[in-house]
Parts: sequence; structure tokens; C-alpha cells
Amino acid sequence: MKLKVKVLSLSLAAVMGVTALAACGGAPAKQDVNANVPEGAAPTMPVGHEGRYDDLGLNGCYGCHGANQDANPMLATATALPADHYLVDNPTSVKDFSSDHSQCLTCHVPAVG
Amino acid sequence: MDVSRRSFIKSTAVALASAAAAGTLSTMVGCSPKENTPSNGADTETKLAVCRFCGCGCGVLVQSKNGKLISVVGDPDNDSNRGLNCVKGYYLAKALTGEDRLTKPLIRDDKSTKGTTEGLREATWEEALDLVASKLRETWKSDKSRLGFWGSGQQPILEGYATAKFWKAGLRSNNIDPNARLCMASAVVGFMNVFQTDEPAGCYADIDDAELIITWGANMAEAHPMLYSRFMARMQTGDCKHYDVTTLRTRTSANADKVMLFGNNGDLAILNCIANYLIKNGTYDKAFVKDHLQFKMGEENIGNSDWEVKDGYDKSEDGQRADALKPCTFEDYAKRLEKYTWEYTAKISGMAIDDLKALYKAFADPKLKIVSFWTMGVNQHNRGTWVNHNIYNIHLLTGKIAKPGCGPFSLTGQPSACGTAREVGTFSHRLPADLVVANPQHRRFSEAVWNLPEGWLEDIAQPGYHTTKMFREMSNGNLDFLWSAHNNWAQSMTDLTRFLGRDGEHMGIFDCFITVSEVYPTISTQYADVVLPAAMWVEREGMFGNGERRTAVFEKAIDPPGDAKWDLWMLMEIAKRVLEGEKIGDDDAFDLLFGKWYDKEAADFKFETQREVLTEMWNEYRTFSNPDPKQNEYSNERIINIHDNVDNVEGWGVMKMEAKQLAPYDQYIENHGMTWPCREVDGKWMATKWRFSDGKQEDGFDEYGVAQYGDAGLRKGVSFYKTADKRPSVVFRPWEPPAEVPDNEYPFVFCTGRLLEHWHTGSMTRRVEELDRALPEALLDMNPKDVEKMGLKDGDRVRLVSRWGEVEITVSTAGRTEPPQGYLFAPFFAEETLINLVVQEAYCPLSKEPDFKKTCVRVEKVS
Repeated sequence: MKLKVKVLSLSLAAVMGVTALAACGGAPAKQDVNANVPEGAAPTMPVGHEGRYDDLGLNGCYGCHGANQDANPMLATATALPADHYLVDNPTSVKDFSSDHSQCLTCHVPAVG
Repeated sequence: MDVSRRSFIKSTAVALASAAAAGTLSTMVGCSPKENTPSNGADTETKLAVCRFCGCGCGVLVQSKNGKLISVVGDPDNDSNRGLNCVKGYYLAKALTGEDRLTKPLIRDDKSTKGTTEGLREATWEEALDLVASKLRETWKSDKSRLGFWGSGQQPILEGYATAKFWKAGLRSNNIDPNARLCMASAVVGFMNVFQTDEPAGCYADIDDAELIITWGANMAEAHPMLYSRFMARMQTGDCKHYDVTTLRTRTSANADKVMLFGNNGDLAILNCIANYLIKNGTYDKAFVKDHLQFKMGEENIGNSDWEVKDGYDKSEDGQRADALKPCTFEDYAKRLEKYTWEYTAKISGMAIDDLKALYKAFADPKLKIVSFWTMGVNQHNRGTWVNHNIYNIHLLTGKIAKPGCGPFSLTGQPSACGTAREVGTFSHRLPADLVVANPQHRRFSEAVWNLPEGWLEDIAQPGYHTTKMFREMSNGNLDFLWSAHNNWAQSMTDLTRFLGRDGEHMGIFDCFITVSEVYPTISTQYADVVLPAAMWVEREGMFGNGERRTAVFEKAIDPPGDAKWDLWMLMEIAKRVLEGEKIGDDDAFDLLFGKWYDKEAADFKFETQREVLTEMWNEYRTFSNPDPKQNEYSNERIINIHDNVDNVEGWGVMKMEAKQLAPYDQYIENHGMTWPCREVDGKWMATKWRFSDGKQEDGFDEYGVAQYGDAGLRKGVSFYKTADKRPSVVFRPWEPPAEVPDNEYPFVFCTGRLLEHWHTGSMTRRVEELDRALPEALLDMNPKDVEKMGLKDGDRVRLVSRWGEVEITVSTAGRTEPPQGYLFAPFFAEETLINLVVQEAYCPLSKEPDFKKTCVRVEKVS
């Protein structure tokens, strides 16, 4: 088990960009592992994402998939977190994130274990 | 914050619930890829349901289209999960559509094919039902000690109720037990010993107010994921800490403020150590002790159902005295605790003294709100009932119980372990609604509710085979008929080497006639003589009861595939055949038991819809806890007279069955589940979140229970009105060692359990491609130093060998858990890695729940 992260501190938004870029620098997904995901279900993490949550926690996921007022360029290719993961209608940072959803791995399991 | 989140989810999702009847939906929650946005058209239909996997009992909304499930999302109006869902919940729909779904009855003609994937042929329902019923009737008529039913905490409430009624009142046999024996029995006996009522005083909402949450042997992050998410949300407020008391690091340890490692059954000593210093330092709640508690001593040195004693344990001197309790004084109790000093406890348990002091300090703080969560690490323990006692002891001594954010809370393993196994009485010693077969007043009361002649249940005054006993008797050739449903015993039981006849000595499995009601081929179906294909989850309507006393309905959303049938229909058809020509008093036996809802001539239910059938059954079942005929038209004078003991029978009392009062069936749909006891106030049914705690019912407190049977004005505003003398028992339970301790031959302690992606034996979740890919293999988690010392490396195949059997498995130092040196972990979901071949048979002498967590093994490299 590699999980070392602490629960997200809501004051960590400022470091998100850097962390995220470091986290998501791996190779892009090579296959559509979510082709058969049921409607409304949480998609699996693409191949190459294994261990990222373990190492970086929510910050690692949010950096690419979260709303960021500084416009995270990674969002161009990353699936954006849906609106129900936030506390407000127009989220701009991790501070707006719903704490109930902080355990990304609970829903988004690796595409390949 | 919470209101905002819920409001948002409601606006995006569960307009769904109210729109369900119209079959029109708007949008869905979840991390949906754009292409997976749910359908919005009028051809879709949404139903209310409850997840069929773990004990969280999460409410879900199920969307179907053209007879197929297309989505499952969390139900924001179910207070257990408030809209959240975990990965197993999201993929529920796919769990129903595996390619090898069973759709036809199957019969095995050649017994020599047992234990293989071959030998089952398709049959008609008529042929299969006739065969099963004839074998059951033949066994019942010749020697009813040789039959058994093994049920489940996944069996819906009313299916369990009907099964228990058939077995106990129809066959008059107590040889019925659920797989909840493997997960909750120690909690049950703990509850009954301490409170004389089963299930917790608190609720999941305690998480939202707790200031310290202690997990005792519980990997909530994987086994109770939605509660863990709620817990982590609470942690993020900064107002709550987490201590993880565990024998090995898990995902649940990752965010803990302190991970407190221990071993060697040290939990017993640790809890006594805390109690010792609470008393020694005067930091317990003296007024709470004075107002509420009584003290007792239990039997000690009660041995084990282990390698030497095995089948003879229950009848042995140790086994016979294991349950006994005797009153003692507070001082007697305190005196016995004195041995549990910091130093002695640290030596016994291996826990750091600083950690022991941190736990003590928390309980000594009178203002700190503490929730203790525990599950299989405590319950699957050779002294599981004792550990439950010792947890209650420290919460009772400090008055930290039955208040919002504060209380001991036993997590359940399965979606209806509480609702079915415990509440309707599918245990070998139980009757519905907390009643037990050994109590004559309980038997008379059950006879009255079931309209049986007085004395009819005298035949079942003695408990039948508990689970391990049932499989032991089968392996010994002493069981001629076994029927199992909603479980996969051939993978989930302990000591499979024996029970599957792989030891060459215990071959009874091959002679016993075995019927398995199932949805997919499993190892259990490989040993079945008849396989009955069952409707799965929302292919019929049903009810589950989860770990916080929440009863909830899952609606029928789609039809079962092929010829798969509702379990309740199978039960009625088999009961009809077995009871043909039998009388209870002057009445036809079947019609007296089931004639209100089943027409045996028509081979069908007497109502148009499944909901009407279940409502009729519910009205009968809830009479157990609503016995006043002035309030319940299904009750009568005979029932209330026994309940109130109007004849003043010696040894009887007022039964206080309203302590479990239930609402009418439709209320559970309207309210998205309700936590019992439910009270009708001015025509409105209200749930109870905190039992025994005085306060307004509308706020979730037990206003009417305390008013009817309890006392006002006691310390902390609680009154344990269901308990004898209204005083829960603090029972001294000492440290005693595990059934097996490591030695030169078997130097490792092996633990098995669940992981997030797979439910129990994987028979459903491994048919979901996404879950199977995410966790495709059961690995043996080892400490890197042990791996290095043994000259192993990750990926090596090893043989795990215990006194009980052996299994091959792959080594990993990067798995889900981080065992300390000398400890090992592997999950049991993979049938190709049949972990339970090595797991010991030893069980808690009080609860008869096996210890899956501490089998001693050695590791051999496979060359």
C-alpha cells in the first residue's frame, strides 16, 4: 500500500497547479477503458494513472481534472470533474470542492490493477 | 456547506425520485464522460433502491430503459449515504448481466461429477422443485436433525422472514443459520449481553458530529467506502481526529492522525487498560455509572474450538460454561482491571505506551465526543464477543453513548445482516424481532403472532446448528439435505480443506443432497445437486435493513432473465410440496402459514403486484413490534396479553416490543428508508436516530420509547429502557491469547478480508469488467523485510501452509495493506486462490463466529 497522503487541506489550492503538472506528466491513455462504463457511473482511471492518487491524493487528481481560475492547460485533454463534485455553481478552486468526494479512489478505480 | 451540497445534488439528480412515476429524468450525478450522459427520454424509468453489497446500505436510484438497467446513482434523499455512491454501487447494473447468468434450473444426475464444473443439466422448474421438495420432506420425516438451511445477510427482509417461518413453524427445525454468523454474530451476542436488544443506539449521522473517531480492526476505506467518505469529509472540517487501532496498515490508516499497531489479541488488554486508568484516576463518569450501569463477571479460560478440540468444543466443559455471567460490584470489576497497567498492556499487545495513553486521554476527556467503529477485526476473533464487551465498557464508563457524535458503533458487513439475519430471526437460536427460541414467553408470543396452537413451538426450544456446526456435520456425513441461498459457502467458509472433502477424510459433502439458489455459477454450485436460478436484486421488489437500523425498500425495476425466479416464489413452491397433507391443529399447515399471500392451487401469489404481497407480509411481521390491537388491526388480544403478561406468569415480564416499532410499508418508500423504532405522531411516522436518548422525536431522539418504558432526568438524558433493570452490563473480560500463536513451524499470522472492488467471493463483482480489471488477482501482502529475509521477491509464487490446509498465491510488497513483520494479508474474493483452504475453524465460544484473522501459517516458495 503506497497511500501516504493526508486528507486534503482546503487551504492548499495555491500549490495545485505545480503538483498537478508533476502528477499528470505520464503517457496519455492508450485505449478507451471507459467505453462500456454505465451511464452516470464513475469512469475508471486510464492506464498510466495507477498510483497517482496513492502518491498525491486529491491534489494530484484535482490538478488536471479540477476547476482552476488560473486555467489549467491540462484540462484540454483531461475529463473535467462534474458539477456535483463542487459546493458552488461556478467553482474556481479546490476550496470549492465537496469534501464528501475527496476519496477519489472510492469511485474511480484503476482501469488496470 | 452540507445544505448547499445536498441542494445541488437534488437539483441535478433527484428530482429523479419524484419524477420516477412519470418515467422522466433530467440529469445524473457522477463523473460521467460526456458520451455517457443518461437518457432524458420518456422511455426511461427510475426506481428507488438500496445497494445490494456492503453494510452501508446506501440508497440508490436505478434507471432502466427497454427492460435493461442503464444507470445506478446515489440517492440524495437516503440519509445513510446522502447521494454518495462507491464504485461497486455505480457498477451494480453490470453485475446483473454477466454472460454466464443462471437462467434455467439445473439438476446433477451423477454425483461423481460433484466438485467439478461439469455434470449439471437443464431441467424444468417442476422437475427441480419436485426433486428438492421430495429430498427435504424425506429428510424431515426421517430425522430432521439432518437437514439445514444456510441463508444470508444479503437475503431481503421478508424473504428471510418467510424462510424463518417455514423452517421454525413449518418444519419445526432450528437448523437454519445465515452467513451473518461469519460477520456479525459477535456483535449480536455483545449487544444482547450488554443491552438485551440487538443493534446500535447511534446512527451514521454521528460521524458528522464526532470529534474523535476510532476504528478498531476496521478497514472502512475499502469495506464501508461511503461511510469512510463521510468520515473523511468530517475530518476536513478540522474538528475531528482519527485513531486507527489495527494489526496492519490499510487504506483506512492513510489519513489517520495516529495508527496504533498491536497484535496477539491485544485489543482485549488495550481496552481493559483504558478502563483501568479511567477508574484509577477517577476520570470516568460517576453519575452515569450510578444512574445506569450494573457490573458482571464472565467465565474465563474458556479454551478454543481449535485444532485439538474441534467438533467436541460446544459439548465440552469449557464450551458449556462459556456464556455464564454473574453479578459483581464496581470494586470487583476495578480490582480485576488493575493488572492492565501501561507496561503490562504494552507487553501483551505490542502497542506503544504513548498510543495507549493517547487513547486513555481521549476517553478521560468528559467533553470529547468519540465514535468507535469496529467490524471484522473485532468480530472475527476467537474472543470476538469479549472485545465487543470491552469496547462497550469504556463507552459506558464514560457515558459516551447514545448521543449525537458520541457512541460505540458496530459496523455491519452485509446490506441486510441487521434487517434479515438479526431482525427477522434467521439464526439458529432466534425468532423474529430479537426474540430467542430458548425463552418460553418468546415462543408463546411468536405462536400468537403466527396464529399457531399454544405449545406448537416447543419443538424448537433448543437452538439448532450454528454455521460452523452445520458444515462440520455435513462434512462428517451427518447432514442429508442442505439448501443455501444468497451466499457462496464453498468459498467463504473457514477450513474448506475439510468442508470440501479435500482432506480425504471428511467426504460428507459428496453424500449430502445440496440445493443452491444462485445467480451465477460458483464453487458452491459445483457441489450442488440442484441449482435454482434466482432473480437478482431489482429484478424483484424487496427490503434491506442496514447497520444503522435503517429499513429501506428496493423496487422492482426489470424482469429477471430467462426462467430465473423470485426466491420467495421458490420458497412457497417448495414449502407447498413439503407440507402437503400436513396439519397445524385443524388447519392445513401451508395455508395457515402462508395462505394469506400465496395460492397454492394457482402456484402464484394472491396479489397483483409484488408490493402488495410484501405489504401483506410486512403487516404480519411488524405485528411483532406493534402488538397493541388498538393501534394495529393485525394484532389481537392473545398477542397483547402475552406481551403484557396479563396472567402474571412467573419468570415472564412486559416484553417492550415497541422498542423495535416499525412503520407501515409505504412509509419506507416515501421516506427513502427509516431507522427504527418508528413512531406515529399526529398521523406522521417519524424515525429514531438515537435510541434510548430523550429528546424530541422530530429531531431524531427516542422521545416516545423513553416516555413509555424509560425514566426521565437520568444522567446524560438517556434511559436504557429495553435492558434488564434498565441497566446495561459492564462485564469484565480478560485478555486471553489467540487460538493459534506463531511457532517455528507456522511463524506468520495470516489475516483475510475484503477489498474495495470486490464483494465477498467476487461471484458478482468479478463479472463486471471494470472491477475485475481494477483488481484482477488476490495477492499475498507481505512485509518487505520478511520477503527479503526469505529470499523472495514480488511476483514469486508461494505456498501458504497452515495446520488446516494450503493454497498457492503470488507475493506482493505493494498491495493494499502493509503488514508488519510476521503478519500476512490476502483477500478471499478470488476462487482460483481459495484462501479459506488455510483458514482455521476456531470460533468465539459465545458467538460461534469464526476467527478469519489470525491463522498461523508458513510461507514456502514454489519451485
